Amino acid sequence: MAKKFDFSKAYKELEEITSQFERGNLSLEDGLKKFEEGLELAAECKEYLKQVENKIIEIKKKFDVA
Amino acid sequence: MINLKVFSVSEYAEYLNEALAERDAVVEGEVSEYRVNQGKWVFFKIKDENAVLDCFGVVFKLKFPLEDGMRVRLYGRPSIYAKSGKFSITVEWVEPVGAGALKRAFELLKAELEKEGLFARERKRAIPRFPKRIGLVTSKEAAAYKDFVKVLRHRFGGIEIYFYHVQVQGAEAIADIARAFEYFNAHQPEFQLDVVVLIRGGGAMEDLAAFNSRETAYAVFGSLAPVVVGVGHEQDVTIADFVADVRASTPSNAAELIAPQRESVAREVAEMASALDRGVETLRQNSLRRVDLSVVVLDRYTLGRVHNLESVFKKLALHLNFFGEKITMQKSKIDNFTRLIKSFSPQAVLERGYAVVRKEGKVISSVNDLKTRDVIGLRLKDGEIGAEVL
Repeated sequence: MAKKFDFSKAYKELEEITSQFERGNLSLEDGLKKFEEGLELAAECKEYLKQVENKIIEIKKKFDVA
Repeated sequence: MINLKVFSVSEYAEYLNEALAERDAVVEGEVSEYRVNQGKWVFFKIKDENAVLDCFGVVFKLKFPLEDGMRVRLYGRPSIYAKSGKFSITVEWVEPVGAGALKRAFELLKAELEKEGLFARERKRAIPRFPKRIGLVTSKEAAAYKDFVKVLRHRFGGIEIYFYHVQVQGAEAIADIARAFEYFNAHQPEFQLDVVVLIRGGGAMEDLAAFNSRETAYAVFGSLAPVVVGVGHEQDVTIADFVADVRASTPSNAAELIAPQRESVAREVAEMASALDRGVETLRQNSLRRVDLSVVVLDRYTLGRVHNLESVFKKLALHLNFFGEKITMQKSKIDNFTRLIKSFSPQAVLERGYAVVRKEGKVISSVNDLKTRDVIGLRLKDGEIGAEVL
């Protein structure tokens, strides 16, 4: 899950939803949908941020030797 | 003497060149009479107190610009140009020697590349805030590598680091670095790197030579992904730094510039989540208020209708009253009429003492219609009697 998750994209979407709320021109129906979406994104982002490792792919070994 | 082989001049020149080819060497000296022909061919002399030798080279092989009086170390093959008998060293590479020469070479290259537009501010590209994949160009043995990886890990996780090992100093460094950038450019469609990082630890100016070379400058300039360069200590500035899209002061700083701090990002996410909470609450309140308002408006509207109805009723009542009066009037008219009609009724006349005279059933109203002895009927108010005319 962590691999497929695009943090940058999720963060941007969350920002967009938040600013929609700040602009305050959402209908109740839309608002509730966006709210749920936003909370889910925030939860996913939080989860992603728990990662403590980065993956190192060594070019020389993996590609150049062959 | 007689036994010695006799050469033609051409043969002898060739013979000498064969021997000279094995005398390739690194020579250190001072540059003089430096000139470039047609932007391609380089001619200069290298000298010390007691000797001067001609040198020849091609521009693209010289990584650093030269200048008269500059102290350099060059590697080349000596040869004799047969057509003129002129001896020269064909230069393969050259590098400035000593702080003064290095500094001068640095200034010259910097001015040159600046003129070419390699440092132009408008071509600097921004690094995405959350890079997913980064290319790393440095030496695996260097402290820079460990510092960078460590600081990056402290800041943010889930990043893929494509690491290309290169020599960061020495004879191979420049070519290595150029190859690394070529490699990343060739694989960009596949790797989709958000940024390429070129780093090494601090050192003397000689150690940083690769980062002050024209080739490295072009490699950084030609990178498809934005480049962060972080070399040495904070006070070290290289040509590569000027070309970089983002200049980091140290390898650790490069990591800091690339990755945000996960704690502050987590705070931002939490802040946005609570902004959403507040937002949805405001939305709820607003919706409630809107419903209340609608009720008020509806009330007002309904009340308005009721008022309307009332006035309609009033009007109707008015109409009805009017109608009623009309009816009463009509009724009294009818009563009068009835009275009038009643007054014309024969019975009423009879009541007043008159009588109706009939002969053979016909009403007689004139004496001329009667003769003596006629039998007549008399109708009075309370009955009829017979009589005979006298």
